[in-house]
Amino acid sequence: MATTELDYDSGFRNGRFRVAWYALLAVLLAVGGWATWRRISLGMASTNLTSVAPWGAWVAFYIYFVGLSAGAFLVSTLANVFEVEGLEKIDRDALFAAIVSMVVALLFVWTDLGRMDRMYHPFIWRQLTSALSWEVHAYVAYIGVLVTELYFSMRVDLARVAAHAEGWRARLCGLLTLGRRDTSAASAETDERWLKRAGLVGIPLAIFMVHGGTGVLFAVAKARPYWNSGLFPVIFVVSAVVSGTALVAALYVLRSKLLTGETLDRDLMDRLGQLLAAFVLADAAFTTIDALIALNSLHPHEVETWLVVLFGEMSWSFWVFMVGLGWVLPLVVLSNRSWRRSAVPLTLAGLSVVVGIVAVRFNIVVPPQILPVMEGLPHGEYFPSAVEWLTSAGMIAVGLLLYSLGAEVLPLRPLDARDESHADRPSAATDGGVSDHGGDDR
Amino acid sequence: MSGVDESAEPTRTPSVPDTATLDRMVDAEAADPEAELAKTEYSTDLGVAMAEDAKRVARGELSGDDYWEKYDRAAEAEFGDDYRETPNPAIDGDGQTVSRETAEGLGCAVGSMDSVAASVESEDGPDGDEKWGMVIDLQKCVGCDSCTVACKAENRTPPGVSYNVVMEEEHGEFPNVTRTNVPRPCMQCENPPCVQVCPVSATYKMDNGVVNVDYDRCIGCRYCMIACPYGARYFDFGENYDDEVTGSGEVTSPEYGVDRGPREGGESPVGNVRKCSMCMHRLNRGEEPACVETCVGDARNAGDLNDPDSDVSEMADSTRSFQLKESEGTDPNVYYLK
Amino acid sequence: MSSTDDPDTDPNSDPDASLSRRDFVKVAAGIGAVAAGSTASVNLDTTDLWTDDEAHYVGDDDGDYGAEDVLYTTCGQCNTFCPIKVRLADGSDAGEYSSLVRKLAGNPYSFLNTQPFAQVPYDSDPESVATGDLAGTGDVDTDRWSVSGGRMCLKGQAGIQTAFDAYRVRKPMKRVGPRGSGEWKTVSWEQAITEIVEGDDELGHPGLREMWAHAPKDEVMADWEAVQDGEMAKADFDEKWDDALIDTDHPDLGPKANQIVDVGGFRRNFVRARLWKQGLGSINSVHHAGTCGFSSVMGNVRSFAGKKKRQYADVENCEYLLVWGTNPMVANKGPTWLAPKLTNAIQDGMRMDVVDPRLSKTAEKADTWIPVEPGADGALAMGMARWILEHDRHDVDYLRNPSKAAAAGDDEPTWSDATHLVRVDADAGPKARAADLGLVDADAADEFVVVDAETGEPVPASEAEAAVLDVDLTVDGERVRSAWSLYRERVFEHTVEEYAEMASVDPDTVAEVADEFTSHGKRAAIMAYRGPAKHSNGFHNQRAIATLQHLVGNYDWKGGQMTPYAGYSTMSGRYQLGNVPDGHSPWGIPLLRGGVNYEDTSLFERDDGYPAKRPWFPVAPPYAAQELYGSAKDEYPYGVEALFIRPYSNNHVMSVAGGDEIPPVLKDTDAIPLVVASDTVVGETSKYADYVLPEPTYLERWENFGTYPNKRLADEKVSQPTVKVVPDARPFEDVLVDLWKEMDLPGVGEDAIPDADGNLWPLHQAEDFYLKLVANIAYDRDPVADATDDELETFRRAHEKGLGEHFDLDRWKAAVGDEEWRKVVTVLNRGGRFEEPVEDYAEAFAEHGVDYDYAGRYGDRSNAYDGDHMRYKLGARANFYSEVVPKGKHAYTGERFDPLPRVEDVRHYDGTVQAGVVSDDDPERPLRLINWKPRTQGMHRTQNSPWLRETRPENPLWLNPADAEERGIENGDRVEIDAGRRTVEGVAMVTGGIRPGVVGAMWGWGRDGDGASEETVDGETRTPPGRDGTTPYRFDEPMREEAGYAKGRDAGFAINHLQPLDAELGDTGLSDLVGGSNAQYDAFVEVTKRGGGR
Ligand SMILES: Nc1nc2c(c(=O)[nH]1)N[C@H]1C(S)=C(S)[C@@H](COP(=O)(O)OP(=O)(O)OC[C@H]3O[C@@H](n4cnc5c(=O)[nH]c(N)nc54)[C@H](O)[C@@H]3O)O[C@H]1N2
Ligand SMILES: Nc1nc2c(c(=O)[nH]1)N[C@H]1C(S)=C(S)[C@@H](COP(=O)(O)OP(=O)(O)OC[C@H]3O[C@@H](n4cnc5c(=O)[nH]c(N)nc54)[C@H](O)[C@@H]3O)O[C@H]1N2
Ligand code: SF4
Ligand code: SF4
Ligand code: SF4
Ligand code: SF4
Ligand code: SF4
Ligand SMILES: [Mo]
Repeated sequence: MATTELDYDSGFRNGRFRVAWYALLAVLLAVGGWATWRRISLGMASTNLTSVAPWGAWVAFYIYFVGLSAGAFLVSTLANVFEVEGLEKIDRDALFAAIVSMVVALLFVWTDLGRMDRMYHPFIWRQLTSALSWEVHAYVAYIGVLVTELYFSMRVDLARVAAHAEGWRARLCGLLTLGRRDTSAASAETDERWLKRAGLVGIPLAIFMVHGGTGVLFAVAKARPYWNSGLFPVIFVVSAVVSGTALVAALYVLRSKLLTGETLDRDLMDRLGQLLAAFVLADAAFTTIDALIALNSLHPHEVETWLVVLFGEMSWSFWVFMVGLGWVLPLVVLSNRSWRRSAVPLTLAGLSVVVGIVAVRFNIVVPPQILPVMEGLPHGEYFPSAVEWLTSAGMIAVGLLLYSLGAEVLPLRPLDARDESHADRPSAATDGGVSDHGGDDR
Repeated sequence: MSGVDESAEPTRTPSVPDTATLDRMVDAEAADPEAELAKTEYSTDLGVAMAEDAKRVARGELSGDDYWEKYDRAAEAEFGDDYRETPNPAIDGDGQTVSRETAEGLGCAVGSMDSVAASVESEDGPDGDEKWGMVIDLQKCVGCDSCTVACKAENRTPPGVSYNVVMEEEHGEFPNVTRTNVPRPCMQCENPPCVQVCPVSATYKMDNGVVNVDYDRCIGCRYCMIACPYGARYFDFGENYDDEVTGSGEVTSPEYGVDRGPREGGESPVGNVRKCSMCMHRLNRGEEPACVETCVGDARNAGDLNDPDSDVSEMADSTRSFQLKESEGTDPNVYYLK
Repeated sequence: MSSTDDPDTDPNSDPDASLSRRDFVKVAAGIGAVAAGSTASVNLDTTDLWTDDEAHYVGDDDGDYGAEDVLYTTCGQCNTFCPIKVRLADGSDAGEYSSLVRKLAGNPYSFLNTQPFAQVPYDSDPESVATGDLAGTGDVDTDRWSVSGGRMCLKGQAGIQTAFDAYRVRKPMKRVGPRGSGEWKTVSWEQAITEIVEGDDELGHPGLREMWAHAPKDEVMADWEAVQDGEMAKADFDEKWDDALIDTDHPDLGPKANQIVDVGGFRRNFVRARLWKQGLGSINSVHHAGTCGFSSVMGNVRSFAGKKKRQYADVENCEYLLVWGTNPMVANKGPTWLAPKLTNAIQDGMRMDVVDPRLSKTAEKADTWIPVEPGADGALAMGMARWILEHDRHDVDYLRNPSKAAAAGDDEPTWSDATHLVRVDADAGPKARAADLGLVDADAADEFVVVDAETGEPVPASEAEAAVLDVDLTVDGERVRSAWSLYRERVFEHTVEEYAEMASVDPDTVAEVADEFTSHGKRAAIMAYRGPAKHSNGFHNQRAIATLQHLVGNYDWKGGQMTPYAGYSTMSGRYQLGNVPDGHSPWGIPLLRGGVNYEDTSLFERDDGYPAKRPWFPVAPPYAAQELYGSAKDEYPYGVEALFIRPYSNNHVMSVAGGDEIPPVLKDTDAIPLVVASDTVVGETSKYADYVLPEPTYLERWENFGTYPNKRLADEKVSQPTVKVVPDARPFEDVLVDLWKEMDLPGVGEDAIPDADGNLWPLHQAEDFYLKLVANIAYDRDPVADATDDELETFRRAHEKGLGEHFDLDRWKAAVGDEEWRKVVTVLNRGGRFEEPVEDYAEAFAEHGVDYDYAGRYGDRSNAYDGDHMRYKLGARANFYSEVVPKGKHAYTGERFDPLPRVEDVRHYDGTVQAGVVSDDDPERPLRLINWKPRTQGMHRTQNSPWLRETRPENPLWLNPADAEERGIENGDRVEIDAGRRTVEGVAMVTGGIRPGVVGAMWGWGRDGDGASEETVDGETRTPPGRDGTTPYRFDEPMREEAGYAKGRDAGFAINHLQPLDAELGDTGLSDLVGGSNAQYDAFVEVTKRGGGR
């Protein structure tokens, strides 16, 4: 860390992978762009939404990404607020992922508006009793907190890069320090203090306002008894944490393999794995309790909604994705200590949860709209249209692009931590990572 | 939010006026009394004096009774019949500042100010202090759906948007089978969940009880649809009947008194959420809502629930009366008779 | 915008006065708000949380309108024809149309559309009615109804979409390729008219000029007699009449003109009476009755000596109403009028029971639903009769009155033939006349004979105060029996239990209904229509039902059975519209063989007597439209040269049972060389025409539909053009006038219409006729008031607004006398004439307003009543025994028809049983298919309306859960309906509301005309519209059709294409030979679930 010349280069290690990756994103963006154009020119008629089931894929993805963000953020607080050992390595990653997720979430919200041109209205007119009104503001505040945190967590490294590296990257990092270029321990300490403070503000914001609030969004909908339960916001937060932890775990491995090439911290992986498993268990338990309460209530709407979830036309998404990918597969993988400590299984478990939780979100949003709010009204039906899928792919690609660019450009990995890993670099390949030989054309 | 003034502490007891608020209200409400009064043929001075003293009343420096006793004669002399016919504005609703006895001794009429204002505004329309409601007699409803189609014709809603539907329920086994037809317009809930959730307060409850959707403000988030326990809200996907019906997009309805002209691609209400407006534009011009006018079973009735003597109030009070999903706490202004 | 807010046009507005008052109030309100607001601001009340501060998005454009935005006319969306108010839309000239329509509503001047309230007084100023300013009309805030506009059913509401249907015929079209190819080219009106008259080589059809010929009957028949008597050589006869007669071997067939056939529902007075019969001299102008309620009408006609076609109750005062096979809440004539009366009467304590195999919308409101076995209604009625007779519940005093005079003594406006004697052994069993029995009083020679209750002697009916009911004796060597004894014997042929069994109704229910029916004196009545009648035994079913009411003698009683046909004269008065100077007299055997005895024709001998090749309808008028196409094909009794289809109520391909057999006939240019259709759209029938001519819809043309047969007061409705949507559309009358002029036929052109003074008026266009008709209406009884200058101005402005350049005020004015014009305007400004409920109604209305009790039931003042009786009466004899019926013989067996009501099986022409009532032959397939009028559709006129198709997107097949379960069918499943000769697909609606063993569906679906299938015009192909909306989902599970998306115009299945074909004829459905009806409820089907669920 005392090196004067900083060999700061956080880009992809494999040039060909990089090309392929960005090419893939470009394709997704192009397709998403076309779909967005359809969305805009055809309006909401381009969706498969109806007045019977007015919320669909976009809302599901929106709450999914909010959850991902909140989860990632909470993991980051483990590092910077609760100072859980080893987690500092993933602190900025988690924060950055949280920010990007939030951006994607808001993109989804925006796309979902019947009047996209009026996206600023919630900041002009409000409604005290509207969870959504509060949420919109909470999101903005939350993004503010995240950015603040990331700033304080990263500023010293930014300053270092600005000071020691060259070219546009240095200039960019310099700009991002917002002029505070001091890299002294004192200044680092100040940053840390502020980081913690922001984190403390952020925790309730994330739990209660952002994610709990998003749960509240649904829970207050008395018209839909399935959502209208006190447990609902809790489950929301829990599953958010599940997805956030999973994401961070996966990102940790992937970043080490693809970008930094550092040695994996097996203890950290173990810890993340255990955390993830615990969260998954909690999620499954809460969901089961909720289901039992619902089924026990004998409230016809709730019971039937659960029946739709469990046995309806889309029950495959519950069994295969939610239960299979979201719960069973990760639990099986994570129950094994050595798998927790290995890159591929852990990544697999993480990604599996990340995908599984998408189904959780769909299963939250869609089934309660299938049953009519009143006997005598038609049953709903919903499966996303091509435009909905493709715009979603595009928006997710935007997130991936932002994250990739950030990961390539920003010192998301603490520079101190990085040094010690240099020695192990070659071993990355044996871990199943991507070799740093050849093709490294940066 | 109306009535919720940021500076008003909850500890303050009612009827103690808050001067700051009042000054603001004077400025806001009676924009420029002098200018306003100058436009009339009446004495500007008197008007201004009255306005000034009104502020004193508001500040608690003058009692309402004294105020009106002071100006009664002068006002009567000045405004003549208009004064005599016009109810005293201070005995309106909760914020009454004049005792009824004093009011009755005054030269002006006793009654609701709003009613006069409104009746002056539109000669034969309603008074302005109504709470519009509906009573639907299920014994009489023959489930014909004439209301549904009348509503489509009146409000020119697009495919998939039907402010009113008639739900059919069948009970029993052959041959002891019965059916109930339950027409469902918007309930114009007293505590409307749709309004509670709207992030931009585009949908809100008007003083006349009607839940309005401001098509210019609504962002189309559809949260209100999720929240409505009656499935009474519909999203306008921009669909139309142009293929089949010549000129169908040319005619639109002045919902909430606003005529938006021909339906054009992408223009509101396309992209907005829509619902039964209680045919407010028709009520204002003295016509029953389209569904009530046409009701083939003579089952639907509309009117002022604030007026205890109105036909609908009486029906809503009857022992046969009930509301849909009473337990939801929405307190619909649409009542049913069983 | 209306005149109310335009001070320039509103003479009553005083802008200054209202301005200053308004301002004062505004300021005062502001001050008050300040004083009051101080407390309100802290009065935290939860509702404030959701009451927004300023009312945003609220304007003051309420779409006000005035009288110049309103035209009154008649709805044509179903055969009820309600008076309506057409509100024109404000200026939009984006299309070819003259004006858009903002909204339709009922006509507040008409009592037909304001039930249970009172209509506005006739003299009310249209402006005050339009703006709701009329004193007495209710207030929207306090009164539950305000008479701003009247009621209208959903089909009526959707009328806008009929007029503005994008698939309308826009120009005269001539077919390209064979008939039914779906390919057309447009031609000019001139070309179309020339080709129809002169023939056309391109299509190779002859013209009217060539095919038409006429000769007076007396001359021809005199010669024919001469031939018979050998005074004239047959060859001379042939030579003399060859050009004029259809067949000189059978001159009784009539002139060639008869081979030019018109088939069309309405405009009867103009097209049928004037143009076809007197102008062309053709006897064949056919209307739709055979497909409609014909057997019901005939069952009534044969049950009364006066004019009575239908059964209706005086609902307001009725205590017990038995609704029998009709659905007044939805159909009948019509829901707008009957439903509000019924719901209010029920709420006020009237009991209503409904006899219907399924739980109709009316049955839903019934005290007791009696799910009778279809077609077994006669048995139920006879069972009731037996119970009534057994329990002596019939009104003996009423029945013993032999004559009007005797009845009058009992305060009975009607009497019956119960005591009249019948010559049972004489041929055709006529009733005895006094002269027949040697009662030689010259004055009374033609009178019926009764046995005087006092003397026990046979006397002419008028001479007995009361007569003996049960008579069986021999007078002058001839056995005579009373009608009563014959009826009684008939009723006693089966026990109550046996009848109940035939009807599949619990005997206790039969007893209960009979008991209830006879427990209210005269205040019980039956309302019946198509249900019991549309079977081949329908006539007798209806006879049995009608005679039930003879037993209580409820006719003309307040609260009983009513028979008012009260109207205002239309065809005579100021103008003799029915008279054609030098017109032809049509004669010959009608193509549809109604009203003629087969055995009296020259064909009887030619064809060796019985069985006749096709059915004859000797005791019904020639309206059995279902027989038209088979007859044309078989040239029986003669061929059809030209067919003119005006398919209002005559889209026979869809509306005739077995209508799917019609297209082959129409496609065959040999069978019918020329087919011309005038239609608003290319329909299933008109698509086979050589020419389709664009017809205006009901909102665009003149018409005078008959009045309702069920109202207590007089009215006369007028339809007038209100908008012009298709500029080139011409009412068919106009086209026929042109054709007739071209052919120099009488009754059109100059000097066509005589007025009361014998002056002759020209007839060039529809309005020349209809405005005179309006004048007749205006002057009948007390002439209406003259329109004021203001009203004339309103009239002009409204018509100019609606019709634009198509309105020619001067031309309209010239159609009637100058002095008549103002009265004509008065009537047109109100859409007709409507009698007021009480004298001095205007004052009464101002005082009492629209109050129901006042308007509807006001004691002696009501114009509806005359003491305890209806003011408009039947005042005639009720017949248990019809002596007309047995004059006819069955054309297959030669057996006489039965003069008494009877229970009978549903049979084919050759006697094969289709559905057993008396017998229990098992049908081939287990489920009886019935059908009914759709709640959401008016016949085949309205499927072009997406509003209506949204409300009910298809016609599901009702199935009882028992039948469904047996077949593994669930609600919403797609099913196959196998009718033997044809199988269709449908969707199942599982409901306890239909009797097991019976399935049913709304008729009127499964279309392929009217935009439902592709048509090519001038090379451009128009594809049918799809379902509406962009959603890929189908939400319309039966009973939950609330998603608001329509299916295509071809949705559902066509009931009539599942109907059995007559076993003998094989080309059409079954017919009731006595009543003339086409049987429509007698199919048997099997239903299976289609794979793949819904
Ligand atoms: N909505 C609507 N209204 C209409 C029309 C329309 O098309 N749509 N058409 C108009 C015309 S043209 C007419 S003629 C009138 C007809 O008016 P209605 O006679 O009232 O109408 P339908 O529906 O033909 O038949 C009446 C009932 O008969 C029942 N039914 C069927 N078979 C039997 C049976 O064997 N016995 C008994 N007792 N009942 C049986 C059916 O279930 C149905 O409920 O309606 C007019 N009004
Ligand atoms: N199975 C079964 N069959 C039935 C019935 C039933 O209940 N069940 N009902 C019967 C009864 S009661 C009747 S009355 C008949 C009805 O018989 P339909 O023939 O179905 O009656 P409409 O709908 O009047 O006539 C049909 C056509 O008239 C045309 N049309 C519409 N408007 C206009 C216009 O303004 N001018 C002109 N020239 N043409 C127009 C359109 O092409 C429409 O398709 O059907 C009978 N058939
Ligand atoms: S019925 Fe639904 S839309 Fe209407 S006020 Fe109540 S919650 Fe709102
Ligand atoms: S859709 Fe419009 S009215 Fe409904 S909640 Fe959203 S902004 Fe409010
Ligand atoms: S009140 Fe008006 S908007 Fe509401 S359902 Fe009735 S017709 Fe439709
Ligand atoms: S119009 Fe009246 S009777 Fe008909 S469904 Fe609507 S509420 Fe019921
Ligand atoms: S019943 Fe309905 S469709 Fe028929 S004429 Fe009347 S309003 Fe028109
Ligand atoms: Mo009919």
